Amino acid sequence: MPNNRPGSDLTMISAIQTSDLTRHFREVKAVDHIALQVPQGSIFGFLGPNGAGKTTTIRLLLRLIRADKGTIRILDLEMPKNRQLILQKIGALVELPSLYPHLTGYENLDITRRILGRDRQQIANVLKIVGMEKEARRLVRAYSLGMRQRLGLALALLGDPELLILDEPMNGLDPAGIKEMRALIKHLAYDRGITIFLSSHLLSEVEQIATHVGIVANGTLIFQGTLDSLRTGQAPYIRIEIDRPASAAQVLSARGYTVMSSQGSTLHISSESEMSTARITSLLIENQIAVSHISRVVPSLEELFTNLTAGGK
Amino acid sequence: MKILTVALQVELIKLRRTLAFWLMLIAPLSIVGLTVLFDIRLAADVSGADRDAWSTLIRDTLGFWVVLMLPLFIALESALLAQLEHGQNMWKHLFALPIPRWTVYTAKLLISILIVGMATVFLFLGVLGAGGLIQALHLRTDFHWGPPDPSWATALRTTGLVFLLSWGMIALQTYVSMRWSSFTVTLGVGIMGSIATFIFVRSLTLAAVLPWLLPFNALDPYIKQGAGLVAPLMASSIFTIVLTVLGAWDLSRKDIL
Repeated sequence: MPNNRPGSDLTMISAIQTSDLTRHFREVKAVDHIALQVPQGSIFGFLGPNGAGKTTTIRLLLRLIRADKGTIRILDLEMPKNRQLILQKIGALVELPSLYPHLTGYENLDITRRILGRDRQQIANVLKIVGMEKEARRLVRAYSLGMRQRLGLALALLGDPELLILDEPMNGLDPAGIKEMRALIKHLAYDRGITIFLSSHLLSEVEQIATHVGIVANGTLIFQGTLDSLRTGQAPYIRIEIDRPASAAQVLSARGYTVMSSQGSTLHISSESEMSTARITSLLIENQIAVSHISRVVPSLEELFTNLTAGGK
Repeated sequence: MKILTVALQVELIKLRRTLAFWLMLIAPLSIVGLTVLFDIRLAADVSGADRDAWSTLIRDTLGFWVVLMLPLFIALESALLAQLEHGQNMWKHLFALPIPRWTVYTAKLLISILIVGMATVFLFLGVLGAGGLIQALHLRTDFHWGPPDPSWATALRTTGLVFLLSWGMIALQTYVSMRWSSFTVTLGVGIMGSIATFIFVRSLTLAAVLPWLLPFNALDPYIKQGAGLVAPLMASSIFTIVLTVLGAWDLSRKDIL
């Protein structure tokens, strides 16, 4: 990884900072006291299952909806007090891109360009970045989903933003499209120094590019930090399948092992060393407990993410 | 002011290749065509065209326009313009841009007014063209094409007043179409307005206060109504101002989900 990796020299200046951010929809708490810290220069993956509150949080950040409670600071400016100024400095793509299908890609960009007060050259610049120079004069209604996503990204880039907020930008893309989008996001962060706030419901989609992640479930932020700090939660464990799980749990507990969980004939035991499996096998056999399977498991990041978000339910 | 100009330019770009744009020509010209068909099939002495063909043509065209077409035309135009934003949920893109929300609403209203204004111009030009065509093709040799009474100046003034008095209706339909995303709601209100126009058009009191009926008061030189212009003009202005402020305020507070 090059030295200019985004977020590697973080001085902890926040591009986005929220506190106590809360929004209800009738009885449902869509966003529940969220305190986000998105470091400037980072690629921040905002993760959570569908319906966790990601899009609502993004809409709150953009002031598309009002918060019931809490504060938002973006690029060191208070929202909504400085709404106009903040929106001048950020680009956003919320869910599927909003485009006028009866207009060409160029005309769609021209509308946003005029509102942002940019010159025509900026359209050529963003079309080049997203690689859509050739398709720009075609009507948007004839675009594929991938092309729409790229045009949506071009729209978000028109204002030369310092911060880019992308809500599920890889939704509906084929594997090649996802790869392209990842490369584009990396380019924007590494080469152009743009802070990227990127939501997704799949960790695998963002773990290759994110420097930081925030995990949200049921409207609550359950983790935020670097990917490395998330990985420290990946403690290995031992998975055993035996004929008498209750007796096995008793024997192992008496010998100081921690039984993490028990399900049917399977036990999960915390593991401190590679040697544990051998010791546990001997111990169980000594106590006439038949072992049909024993292995040391290192959980994947995806598994950790699933466990974290399932825990929030 | 600059941002409002930008918002207007943007609205004009959005009009490209839309039915809303073409309707600005189709609606007035279809009314002119209908009037020509109506007038050339009537006995000249019944329509009055044997004495004053221009005046008859102007009276009938404006009458059909105000009673038959204008309420539906405005409802359809405002619904089509608002659907440009509702259709693809463009609000989430527009309102994530550094533009005050009220300018988006105001620009939408001004474009609707501009479209209705242009349609009124086409209506008047259509009358002139249709009169010329009837003469050139000798469709009715019993029509008399002398200087009209009321004069051309009155005809122009009446047409202009029809446009001015339609602002209240435009403001109402714009408010409804921006407030509710359903096409049916906007058209429903427009259809209701059309029916009200048909039923109550000769009611002095209602024609001076209901936004769909206000333009009819401008036709007084051709079709005696007698309500005068002060009350209808005031009603149209009040509707325009109140509904615009309400609509802009409403959109400024709207949650974009």
